[in-house]
Amino acid sequence: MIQDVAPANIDLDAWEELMKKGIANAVSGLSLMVRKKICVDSVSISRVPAKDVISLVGGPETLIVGIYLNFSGAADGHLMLAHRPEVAYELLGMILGEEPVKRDDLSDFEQSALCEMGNITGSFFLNAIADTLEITLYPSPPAVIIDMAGAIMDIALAEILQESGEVLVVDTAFTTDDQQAGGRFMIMPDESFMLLSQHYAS
Amino acid sequence: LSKILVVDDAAFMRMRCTKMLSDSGFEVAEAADGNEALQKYKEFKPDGVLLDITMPELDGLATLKELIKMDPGARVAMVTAMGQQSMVMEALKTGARDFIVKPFEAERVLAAVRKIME
Repeated sequence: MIQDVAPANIDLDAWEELMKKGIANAVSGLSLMVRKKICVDSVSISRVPAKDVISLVGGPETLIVGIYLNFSGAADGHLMLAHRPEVAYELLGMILGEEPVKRDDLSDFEQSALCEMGNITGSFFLNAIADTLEITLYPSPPAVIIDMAGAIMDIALAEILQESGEVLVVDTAFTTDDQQAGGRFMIMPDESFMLLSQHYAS
Repeated sequence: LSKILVVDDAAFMRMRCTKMLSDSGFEVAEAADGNEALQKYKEFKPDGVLLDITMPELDGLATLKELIKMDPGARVAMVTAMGQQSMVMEALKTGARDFIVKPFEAERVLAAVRKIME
């Protein structure tokens, strides 16, 4: 329940509404990128111990393709697109207009296309929030990491773990409308991001 | 041939833009970050620049400021996923002549190139 995870002075309805706006825009950006309609299957918000974030993507030894970026500006946080490799390669095929890649190593060019997918999805999420609140949020250039979930999360969460043992996660599961490919879009905001809802409510 | 400099840290986007522009008769050079863009601008002397914003080291807005300082007549269009209103305003105020939000249609980029070359 979001009530269990938010600081006491947060307008939860406003915050959830902001999240939904951002997620809808992120999905719209992803849809434009892969040229397919994207359906949001579920959105969940929880505060979990950092080590448990790994279980959201299938456990520490699950091989995943993670596209990670952080953001700064009026608020800070972290964004991650996480896919099973076969799904990432399916999405890559859609972006490149080619058959899905059938191997485990990706060329620099293919990694760059996945980076761009993360850049567009993450930027679209931030664009919606920033324009609604009339602020500026700066995404970092994304990084693609193909490794076991445990290793990826160690990298992605290293910064958060320095600040807190727990992570707030907004986890969106999505699929293409033809069910060909699906994945997860995870937002891990700092508390400063939750405080943005105060501007929205006012 | 009119010369265009494409600046983007993503090789995928540089290649897409380069192919599209080459197919339309432009001579194209590429730069993968802001510092390389400033160097290439001096050497290649492009007629127009397509400039991403989210890049490591020197980002697109900082690069735009440097380009305008170096050449007040620089013809630059921003091409970025970061389409926040504040960003559009700042880029246009700094001297960008157009602003394209990725992912883009080829025709939109070609229209921007024609616009900045006017």
